[in-house]
Amino acid sequence: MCIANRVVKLALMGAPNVGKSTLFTKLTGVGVITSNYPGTTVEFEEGSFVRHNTMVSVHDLPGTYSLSGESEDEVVAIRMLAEGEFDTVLLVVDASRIESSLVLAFQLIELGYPIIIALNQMDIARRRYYIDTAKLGEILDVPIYPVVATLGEGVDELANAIVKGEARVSKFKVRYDSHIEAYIRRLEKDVESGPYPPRGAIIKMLEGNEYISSLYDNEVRDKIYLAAKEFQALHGEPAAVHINRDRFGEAGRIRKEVIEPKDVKPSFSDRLSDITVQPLTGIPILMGVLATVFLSIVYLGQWLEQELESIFNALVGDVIIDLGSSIAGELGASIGTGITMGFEAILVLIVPYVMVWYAIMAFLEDSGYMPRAVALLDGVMHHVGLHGRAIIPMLVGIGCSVPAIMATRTAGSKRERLILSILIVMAVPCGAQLAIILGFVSRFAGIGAAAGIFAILLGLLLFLGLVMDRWLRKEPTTLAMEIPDLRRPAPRNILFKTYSRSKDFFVIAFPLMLVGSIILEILLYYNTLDFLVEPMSFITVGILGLPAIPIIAFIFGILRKELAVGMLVTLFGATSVYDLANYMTPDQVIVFGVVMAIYMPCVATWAVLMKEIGVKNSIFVGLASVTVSIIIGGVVNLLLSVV
Amino acid sequence: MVSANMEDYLLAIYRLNRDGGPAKTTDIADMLSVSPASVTEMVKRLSEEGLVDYERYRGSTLTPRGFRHAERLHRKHKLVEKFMVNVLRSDPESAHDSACRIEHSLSDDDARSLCRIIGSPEECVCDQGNTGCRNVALVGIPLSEMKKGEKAVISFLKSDSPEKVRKLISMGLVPGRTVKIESEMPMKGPILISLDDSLLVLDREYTSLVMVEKEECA
Repeated sequence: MCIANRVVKLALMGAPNVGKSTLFTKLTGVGVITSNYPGTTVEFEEGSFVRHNTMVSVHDLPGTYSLSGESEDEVVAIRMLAEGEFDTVLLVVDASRIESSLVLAFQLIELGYPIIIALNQMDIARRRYYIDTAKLGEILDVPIYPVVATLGEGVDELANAIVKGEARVSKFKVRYDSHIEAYIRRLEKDVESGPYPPRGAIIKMLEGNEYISSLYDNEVRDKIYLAAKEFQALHGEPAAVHINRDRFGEAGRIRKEVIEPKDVKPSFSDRLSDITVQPLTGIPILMGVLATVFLSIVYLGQWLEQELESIFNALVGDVIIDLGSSIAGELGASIGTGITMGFEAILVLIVPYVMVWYAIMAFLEDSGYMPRAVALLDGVMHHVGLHGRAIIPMLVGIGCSVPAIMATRTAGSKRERLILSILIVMAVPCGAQLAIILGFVSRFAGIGAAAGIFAILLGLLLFLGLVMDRWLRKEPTTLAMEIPDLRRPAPRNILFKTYSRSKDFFVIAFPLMLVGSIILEILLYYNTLDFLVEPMSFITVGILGLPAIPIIAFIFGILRKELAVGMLVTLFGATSVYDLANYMTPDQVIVFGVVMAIYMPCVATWAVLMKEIGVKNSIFVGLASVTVSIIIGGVVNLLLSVV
Repeated sequence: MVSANMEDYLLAIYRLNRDGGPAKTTDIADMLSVSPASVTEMVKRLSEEGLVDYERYRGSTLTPRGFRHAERLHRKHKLVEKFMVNVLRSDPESAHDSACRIEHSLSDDDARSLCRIIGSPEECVCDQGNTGCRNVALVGIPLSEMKKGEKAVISFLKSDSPEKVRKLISMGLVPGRTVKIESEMPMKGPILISLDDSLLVLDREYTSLVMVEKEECA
C-alpha cells in the first residue's frame, strides 16, 4: 500500500495533437478523451499517481497552440495556470514538429512557470532526424525527457523526474525586436508588483492578452495599451504579429541547432498520411472509408442485434411482465412490457448500432483521419452553409441525435447550429431510424429499397442545406486547422471515448425512452388513440397509401421511434415481425420507412433541442419535419404506384 | 556596382523618359547642372553597364534593368521624403535634399522597414500614380493567389480582423516563415499548406489575409 506524504500538483500542457492525453493516460492510468481533431479536449481531466511516497495530481489542461487568449481553450488554460498554484508544468512537445511547441514553451518560460518538457513522438522524430535533446535542454534551461507516449517508452523516467521536483524556472529569454525590447525596458518598473515576472507580463499585455491585463491596475494597463497602439501605428502591424514573428524566428534557430534531418525515404505511414489528404487520392479513399464504415455497421450491427436479442429473451424474457401482472393485473403487465421494451432497446439498438458506430468514430478520430475528411469535405459543406467541421456532429447523429445536437456547440455561430440541428433531425438517420431502414425495410423490400431511402435522405440533406444557406442570413464560416500525421490509436482511449459519447444517451435519452415506453403501453391498454385512426386516414391512406392504422405507430414514434415497427405487429394483430408481410406490401413498407426516417425528432431529441436551439426553433423543426416527411412519403408512394 | 553619381544620372533619365521619349543630353545636363560633355561620357559608361540605350541624335532610354534600378531609387526617394515629412515633420524642401542623399545608401530591407513604419503598404502610394513602394518595400500577394507547389515567405498579415490575425499567429503563420502550397481542396475548399514540419488547412477567409512574397523574387 502506498501512502503519500508529499503532494505534487502538476499541470499538463501542450498543443493539440501532440499526444498529451495519451501521456496523461499513461501517467495516471485513467482514461481521458484523446483526439486528433483539434480542440476536442475542451474539458479538462484530472488524475493522479503515487510514486516514492509522493502523490502527483495531474491536471490535463485544454490543448492550445499558444497562450494568447485567442480561443476559449486558451483562456481556460491561462486561467487554470494562474489559479492552480502548480508545482510543475509538464509541457508535452511533439518532437516531430518541434517549432510550434517551442513557441508555447517560450510563453510558459516568460510567465515564470517551473517546467519539465516531455519530448513526445520520439519514434517518429528519430526516424526523420538526429535530435540532440541534451543541447535542447541546455538552450531552454529546463529538464527534457524524450518519451513515446503510445508505447510508454520513457514515461517512467519522466514520472521520476516529476516526483523528484526537477521542474525548473528557466532563465532562457527570447530576444525580441529592438522596439519591443525598448518597451520592456521602459515599462519594467511599472509592472514589478504582480503575479508574473515583469518581462513576461509586459509581452503578454503588448500581445493584447485580456486576462493577464485584468490582473494589473488601470494605470499599468493604459500605459501598455498606449505602447501597443503606438507600435501598431509605427509598424502598421500589431505588436502581437512582431512578437510571434520573433518567437518563431527563435524557434527556427533552435531547431537548426538541435535537429539534423536524416536523408530517409518517407515511410509507409508518411506516404499514407500524404495520400489520404491529397484530393486526387484522398477523395476515393474517403469514399472507401465511408463505405467500409457503413457496411461494417450494417453487418456487424445486424449480427449483434440478433445475438443480443436472443440473449435478452433468454435472460429476461417475460420476467418483468409477469411481475407487473402479478402486482396490478393487465395494467401492470402493460407497464411491465413498457419497461422490458425499454431495456431491450438498449441491447438491440444502442449496443449494436450506436456503440459500434461510436467505436468506429473514435478510431477514425484517434488515428488522425478525421481532420483529413473535414478538409476534403469543407468545400462541399460550404455550399450547404456549413463547415467541414460540421461533419462530426452529423456523423455522431448517425448514432443518436441527442449527443449530435450537443456536439453542434462546436459549430460556432447560431446560424450554423440551427442549420446543423435541422439537418441532423431530418436528414441524418439515428440508430433507431437505421434499425427501421436496415432491419425492417431491407428485410421486407430488399437492400435496394434501403439504399433508396439513404439516397432520399442524402438528397434531402443537400436540398435542405442549399435552401437554408440561401434563406438564413449569411455569416462567414472559417476553417483553420492542423492536419496531424496518421498514427495507431490506443485501444484504451477508443473504449473510453465510446463510453463517454454513449453516456449522453444513457443519461438523457434512455430515461425518457423508458418513461415513453410505459406511457405508450398504458395508452395502448386503454385504446386511447383509436379515435385518431379514422380522421387521420386522409394522410395514411390518402397521401401515403398505407393502411389507416399505422397512424398510431407514427404517433408513438414521437416517443420511441424503433418501437414503431413492433407497434405495427401489435396493431395489425400479426404474430411476429415476419408475419407483417401479410399485412403490408413491400411498397407500403418502403413508404413507412421513408416517413419514419425523416419525421419528428423523438422525445429525447426534443428535450435537447429545446435546450440548445430554443422552444420556437424546436417547434418549427418538429412541424417542418412532419410536413416534409409526409410530402416525401406521398411522392414516393406516387412513384411506386406508377412503377 | 552602380555609384551614387551614376544613380543620379539614372534618375534623371528616368524622370525625363517618363515625361516623354528618350532623354536628350542637353536636358540631362540641365537637370543635373553639369556640362553636356560629362553627360555624354556618363551615358557611355551607363550603356556599357547595360543600364541605358543611347542612340545618337535621339537620346538616352533606360533598359529594363536600368528602369528597374531607377524606379527602385525613385521609390526609396519618395519613401524617405514621406517619412521625413509625415513622421519627422521636416519641411518638404529639406526632406527632398536629404532624400537625394539617402536614396543611394538605403538598403532594400531598410526601405521595407521604413515602409512599414509609414503605414500599411496599401496606403503607401507615392506620387505620379505609382503604386508606391511596392517594389522596394512590401511585395506581397495574398496566399490565396498562390498555386499548388509554390513556395513563399510570409511578409505580413493584413490586420483588418484582429481575431483572425490572432488565430493565424497561434497556428504559426507569422512573417518570415516559409509556406508551401501542397494542394487545393475540391469545390473551392480550403488550401493545404505546409509550414516547416506541420500541415495546415486554411480556407479563403484566412489565406486572403496572409500576404506572401514568392520565393523566386525574395
